[in-house]
Amino acid sequence: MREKTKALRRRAYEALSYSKEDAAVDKQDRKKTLPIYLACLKPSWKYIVIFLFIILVDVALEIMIPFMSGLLIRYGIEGYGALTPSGAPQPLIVGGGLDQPAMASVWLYGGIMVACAFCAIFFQTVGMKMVAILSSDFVERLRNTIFGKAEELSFSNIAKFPVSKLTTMLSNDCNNIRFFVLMFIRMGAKQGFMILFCFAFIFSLNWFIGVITVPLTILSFAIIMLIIKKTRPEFIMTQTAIDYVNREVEEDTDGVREVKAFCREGHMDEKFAEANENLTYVTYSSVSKMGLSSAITTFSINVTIGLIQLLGGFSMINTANGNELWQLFNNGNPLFDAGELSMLTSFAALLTLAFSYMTMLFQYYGRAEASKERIDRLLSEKIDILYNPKEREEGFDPDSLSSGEVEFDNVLFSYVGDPKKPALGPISFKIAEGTTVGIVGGTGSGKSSLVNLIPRLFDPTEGTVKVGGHDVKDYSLKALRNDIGVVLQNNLLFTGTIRSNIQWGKKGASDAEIYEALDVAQASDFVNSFADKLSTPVTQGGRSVSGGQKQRLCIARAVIKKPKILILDDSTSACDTDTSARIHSQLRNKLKGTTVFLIAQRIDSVKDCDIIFVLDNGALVGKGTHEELIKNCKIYQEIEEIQRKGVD
Amino acid sequence: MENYSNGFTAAGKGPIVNDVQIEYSCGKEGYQEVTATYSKRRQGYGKPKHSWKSLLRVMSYLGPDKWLFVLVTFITVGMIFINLFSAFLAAPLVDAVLQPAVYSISGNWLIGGSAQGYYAASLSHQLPLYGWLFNLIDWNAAAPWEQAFALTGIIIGCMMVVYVIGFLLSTAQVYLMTRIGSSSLMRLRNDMFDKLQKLPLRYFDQTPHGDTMSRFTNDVDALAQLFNTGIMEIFTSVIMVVGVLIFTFLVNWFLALIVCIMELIAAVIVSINVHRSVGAFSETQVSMGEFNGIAEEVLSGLKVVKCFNKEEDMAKLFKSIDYVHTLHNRRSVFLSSCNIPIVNNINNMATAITVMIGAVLIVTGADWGFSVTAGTLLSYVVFMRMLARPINSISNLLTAIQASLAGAERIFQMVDQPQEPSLQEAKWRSYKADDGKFYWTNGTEQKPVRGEVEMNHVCFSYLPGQKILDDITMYAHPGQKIALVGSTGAGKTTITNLLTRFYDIDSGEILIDGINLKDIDRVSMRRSMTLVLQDTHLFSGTIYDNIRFGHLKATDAECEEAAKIACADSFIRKLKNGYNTFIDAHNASLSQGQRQLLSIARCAVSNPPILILDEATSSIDTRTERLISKGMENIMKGKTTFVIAHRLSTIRYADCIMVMDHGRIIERGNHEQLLALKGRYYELWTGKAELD
Repeated sequence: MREKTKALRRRAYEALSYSKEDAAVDKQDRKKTLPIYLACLKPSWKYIVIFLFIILVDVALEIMIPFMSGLLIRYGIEGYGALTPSGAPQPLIVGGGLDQPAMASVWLYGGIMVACAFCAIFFQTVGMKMVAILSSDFVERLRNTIFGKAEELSFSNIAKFPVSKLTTMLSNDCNNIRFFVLMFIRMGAKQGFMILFCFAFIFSLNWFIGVITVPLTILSFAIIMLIIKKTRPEFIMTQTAIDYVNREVEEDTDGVREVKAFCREGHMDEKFAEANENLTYVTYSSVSKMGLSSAITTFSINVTIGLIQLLGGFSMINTANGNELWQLFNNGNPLFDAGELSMLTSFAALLTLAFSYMTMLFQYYGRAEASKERIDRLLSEKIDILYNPKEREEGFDPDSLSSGEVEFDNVLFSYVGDPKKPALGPISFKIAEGTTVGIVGGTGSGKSSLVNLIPRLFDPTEGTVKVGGHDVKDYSLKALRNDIGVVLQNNLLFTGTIRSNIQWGKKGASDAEIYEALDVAQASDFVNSFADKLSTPVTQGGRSVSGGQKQRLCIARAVIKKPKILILDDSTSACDTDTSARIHSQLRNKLKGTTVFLIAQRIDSVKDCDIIFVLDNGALVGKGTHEELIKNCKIYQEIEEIQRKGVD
Repeated sequence: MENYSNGFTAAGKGPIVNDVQIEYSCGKEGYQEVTATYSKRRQGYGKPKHSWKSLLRVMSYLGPDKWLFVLVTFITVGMIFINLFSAFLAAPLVDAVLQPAVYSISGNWLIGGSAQGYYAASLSHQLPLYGWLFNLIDWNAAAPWEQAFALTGIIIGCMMVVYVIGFLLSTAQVYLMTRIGSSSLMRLRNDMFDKLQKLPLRYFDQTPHGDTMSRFTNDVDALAQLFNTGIMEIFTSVIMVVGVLIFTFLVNWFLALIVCIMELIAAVIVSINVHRSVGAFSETQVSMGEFNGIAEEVLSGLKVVKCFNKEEDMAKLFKSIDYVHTLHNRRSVFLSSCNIPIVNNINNMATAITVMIGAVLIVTGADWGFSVTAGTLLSYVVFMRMLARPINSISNLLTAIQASLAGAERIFQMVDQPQEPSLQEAKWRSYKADDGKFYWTNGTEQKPVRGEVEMNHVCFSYLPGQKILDDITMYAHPGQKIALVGSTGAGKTTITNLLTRFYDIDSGEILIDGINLKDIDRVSMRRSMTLVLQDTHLFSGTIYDNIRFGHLKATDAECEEAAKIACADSFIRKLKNGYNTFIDAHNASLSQGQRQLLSIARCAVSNPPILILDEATSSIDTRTERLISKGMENIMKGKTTFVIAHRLSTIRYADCIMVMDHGRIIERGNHEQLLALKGRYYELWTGKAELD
């Protein structure tokens, strides 16, 4: 059993590692992100003010009630409210009628208690409403901010933040924070006041007892702090473990066809079970340690109360007994009398309750802090593709591409940021506006990397990419996105309808415009064959249409923009030769003046291009028209030959 | 959207703090704007029933831990006894021991005149243990205070021991209960995942992935708090409440009844609230799943989102769901928490009312068959104080219970989805024997998997009424290469979906080696096939892991061999860590063609008798395609292969080519026969017709 637990622990710690370096980074992030959280909280300041007022009233009532119940006992039941002629308390006289003096105290204090309880219900309910709104709103802002930041991430940034992690952040982590904020405001403020008040009362009653309670309280809090410090990495690991569980589910749903086709259900089950087991272990480890803290506080408060009673009892008896040592100690007075002792005990009980809430709060804090740390990482992540467009000036509008002319000046690009391991380049060329550029080359030769640099999906590692004579970095995001149409290799449609997906390219495009784009993409026929035409629902990723249909819809989505530069990255691979030929000829006819980059596997597709680039291992090994290349580019000749003869 | 602030809430964009744009809520206007533009996205699971049964069902996951659970229950009962014991021991200490001791020292019994008189006059003597404690001391002895002194010491000493025991017990309880709780949730999650695997493809196509993910994490998490600490705390509190109520009944049934009525009123109010807030909680969880779905979709398609400058629009969409979520959140939090003031204060109210009614009973001297004295009232005040804490924690935990109910419901909603039709009646299974070959077995008989595929009059539609395949009949000899040609939407991929039994046919029959597909265990049947898809999905893991997906027991060398066949070896070696390079499912650095090469390697390593290649080489350049064609030939040798490709050159040498159109096979034959037919295929081959 022990061995097994150890093995579990080792595996979980390995899989979810949280190192000292991580902790140091987190510490740095904390300073940067605190103002962000405050800014998210700020719009709710009115609620906070109202709430603080309510808390004060609430605490007053909360303390009033035990006080009143004490008075009810003393004056009503025990009869101190109505003294006998000899000065002794006169309890209720059995059968003495309703108008006896003690009854007045019963009515008075009982009535006040009921009234207080009603007031407390009212104020507390209003308070609860405030807290509910406050905490939910705060996290709504935080979540929106996180989502906004996540969308800004560039593709090299996003490698650090897998989707499964980001979704955990948006839901689970935000929820942890929300819960802590909720509990902190709801209980922290009130119990804080309560603790202060109880201590003030205890000290005012007897400083000596106060002196006893303080170190014990401090000791137990010190232990709890230690536990929190110890468990902190585990709380962060818990969240990481949730990421992994999330990832396994995501992969299983994304790759369900592969999983089923290869009968890998068992294998996926195993992978999931491992992630699940790690999560279970760190949760168990951290939650149980945290749970220990409430046992510790209960114990220490109990001991404190015991000590108060012991001391009180001894002091009473010893003082009455005339013990010299004791009289020396407290001027011959008992530390407190019986009444005070029971009061102290009941306040100590209140204190217990307050402390047990506080420890609960610490547990929530542990999780919330871990979550915050993770969110901090995202919020303080430096976006490496920043848009700082140049000022508008004579002949240059940063919001619109000057022309479709594209120039690469000694451009080198590496996915790992290392010029020695380039995926592309160094490469230089200049393309005039309206040119159709075909790009061919082997798998992994850098074709996609080349076109990705134009709309700044990536920034070149070295050199500059110019569009219309200006560095692409001088343009605003708007210019690059609106004036460049991109059809990616592995393209996606989004949940919605065909119409809503095409409208991605042009907001509010009319059906006529949409059909025009669909015509260019050779897609209107099959769209019309659907019963719901443009309103046909599309599921996530576009799996509800076939591969070739999806590609054509993606082309239509880009074409409807009427871009100055159109990039087609192997975007007709699932369409047959003739369809793609027709698409290409339509593009040439309908999009005159548009610079087109056309990546294709088939020579047929690029044959008619104004200029063809041949890439091999990231280098530009051939440039020219089909006729030229056929004559002088070996690789191009080879490709052409294979395709002419067919594969066999 | 302009910034505006509407009284208490801020909407629109906030300031930019440390390079981060603060995004406020979209506000009602923003929400309405989005709902007007976007169609409704939510998938219907039917209305949640808010059935408490689902919580009980969660309890069934205690499984092997149930004896441990019983142990914890015993520990908890022990703790309750300790609590009651120390409470009842501590309460009378002052009145029963210390005060009389002080009187006995002075010799002046201010109350009652003597020890016996004091006992009779003391109002607290109705408390449990009071008399026992008082009479432990012989008050007529010479110096009773010395006994009292010793007794106080002993009592406090006892209490300390009890506290230590209590501490140990509660530590044990915490550790055991978290262990039980976390491993029960682990079992629940494993069960969910297991179930997820058995769901039909339709479920995955229709449900946003993020929503499914949310069920695994957020909804299970909603259960966690209840499971880890909640159950025992509720148990403790309920027993404490019941225990104290029993004492109140023993002392005076009439007053106890009043207390019960008051608590009952509170319970009624609470249950109304609970009913309303459970609805709000389940809305909260649902909307959380919803924005999780959007976030997952948008962030995994971020490249496209960026290309179309849709960040702002997607953020708006996200915000609108977040807005709804926040409204539900506010409501659920408020409704569940407004129980707390009611429950807590009803206790105070009950104290006051009991005392007042009791006082009236005393002073009017009504004789209802029981006696009420001032002492009775005092003991009631003590009882009510004891009730305060457990009631308080019950009301706090109600929130957790409601949240977990909402979570549990969403979990079981998924678990209860109809799964792929049962495998129970399957007569045949396939298995891979030690000699590396595949065999069919129905328990008594066994025969090798040869790969003979026959489809007779198969009809199929994804949606009722829209026929995708119409009366398809075809036959593939073992080892034949069958090509499917046709325009998109002709039903080529559908045929492969039926062969792999991702979907079940409407009518007709499919036979493999003469066995009806319906009689074959779905999972084991797939084991004898390999599918290479156009959109290759890679899994997070190393390149080795991904290739090995085709055959888990493949050695590193075998994986490399397969990669060489697929021509993937050269690019893999150029990666940072070669075959051990970790790739992420959404990783951008592998091109589509490279992914397809890996997928072919995966197929090469698995080596089953039936192969289905659905546009498997569409993104691979022709040069590479030629390079791998030799390898492919080797892979396909002796296997029944179905090939879908639009490059006619790829399928030219197929044994049989089926030309499909609108769900029917219009021509069939080999390349030469079809050319001689001068039909559609001829037109395609000579470029006279277009495939669309």
